[in-house]
Amino acid sequence: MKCTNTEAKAALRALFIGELEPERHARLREHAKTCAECREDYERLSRVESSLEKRVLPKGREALLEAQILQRVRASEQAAAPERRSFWDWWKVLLPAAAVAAVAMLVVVPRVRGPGDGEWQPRSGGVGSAFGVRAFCVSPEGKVQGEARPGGRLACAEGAAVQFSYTAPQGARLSVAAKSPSGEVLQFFPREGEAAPVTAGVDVPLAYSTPVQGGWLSAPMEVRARFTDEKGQVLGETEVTLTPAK
Amino acid sequence: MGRDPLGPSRDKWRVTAAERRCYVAGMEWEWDQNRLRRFRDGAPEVLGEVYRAHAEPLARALRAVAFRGRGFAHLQGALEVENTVLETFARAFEPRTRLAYDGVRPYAQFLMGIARNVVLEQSRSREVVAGLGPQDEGSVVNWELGAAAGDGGGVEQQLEDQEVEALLRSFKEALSPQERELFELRFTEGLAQESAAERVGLTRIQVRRREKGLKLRLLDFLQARGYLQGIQAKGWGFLKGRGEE
Repeated sequence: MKCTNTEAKAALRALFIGELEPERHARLREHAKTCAECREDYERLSRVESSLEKRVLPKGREALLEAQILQRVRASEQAAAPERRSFWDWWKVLLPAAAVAAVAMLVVVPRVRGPGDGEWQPRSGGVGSAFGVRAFCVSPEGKVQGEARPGGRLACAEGAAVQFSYTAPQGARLSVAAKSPSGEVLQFFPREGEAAPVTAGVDVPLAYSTPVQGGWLSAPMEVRARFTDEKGQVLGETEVTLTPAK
Repeated sequence: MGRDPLGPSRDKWRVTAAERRCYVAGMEWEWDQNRLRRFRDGAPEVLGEVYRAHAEPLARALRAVAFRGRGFAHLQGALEVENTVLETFARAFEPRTRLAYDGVRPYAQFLMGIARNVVLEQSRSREVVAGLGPQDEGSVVNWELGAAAGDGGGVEQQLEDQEVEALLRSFKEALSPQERELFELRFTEGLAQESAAERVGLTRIQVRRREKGLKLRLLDFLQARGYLQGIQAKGWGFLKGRGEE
């Protein structure tokens, strides 16, 4: 029987050209378990990749499985230690604390910067005075289609990719994450685990972009970037809203 | 005394009693106290390193087992090998299992013990589904001996491998010298995009774009010769077509 699952066919293609995300890879493997046609295509694709790379487990698939394994490890650890719960619980604590700190700063230092200064100036040259991230929408051809400063909005279409850059006046640990409308935490940076160390710099592109694929950007989504020091103290936070482009 | 479960691939795994050092695909690392502690704590970067160092040898061992024991033929397929690799590492990285690893014996051996259980469970559930009686697991394959040798493979698989290799050779011959160099660096030698970019004098972004172009051309080439025809050839039409019949 001919398989009509076009998503599976597209996922096979994405797998071959290295653009498949771990979640879609898992769905594809689930589908292939029960679909003889897609299973055969999956096997043939693997044969080509294995032949190319002289490996039983081609590197692309190895990386996709790694992401899924670490996801399972995280899930099992969260289940075992509910007190270490979610990223969002951190915000419940940190946001009021940051608000209090911000009010205190306003009282003590009413105006440090000039009237024309923005919150963050990543392209002003030299090491900036604040932490922050900017988001860019990059077309499949590599053309920047839009950008958003902290607090701004960025529209990005399916098929394009979201790229972040950061400014940090000193080395810090950075996490960039969002909460999807369904409540799932989407982690842009690092791909896995806790905040990752970044060096000081201005407008430094993060090592990878995130393809807008599979419908994860179907509604406006607030992406929060948080810089912390080694002790977990918050050094800076910014927010960018991603929206689907029409 | 049993043979090394990794067989010939052990050449890449020189583990001395003194330093427990592993050499895998050019990556050198060892189980020192700090690494072991972080592994047991579940540090994602250490789990990732351990996974990357052992995934391919495990996949090779599983493939070799597939052609040795009559209960394990399902492991001849990529999908089953991947599922088994995933399940094995998921179990190996569970908190309690991480704590059970002592950092002294080779991790590959520890992992093979888990893989063995995973495969035997798969095999048992298949037998139950097929209405077969339980096989004598000891006689099906000796895991200490069995997961050795090369990739193995039946005649049918070998013929298909040869067909694919001939197609790939033919594709490469039609590439320009620069394209061929990039193709070899990225796909055959497995160089990272950054390193390949340095070697061919391009930026990483340029390498990424050209690489994608090469893969798409290869897909077209294979499909034109009757291979991989079930894969969507162009575009992301399924997104527009959702809900349509």
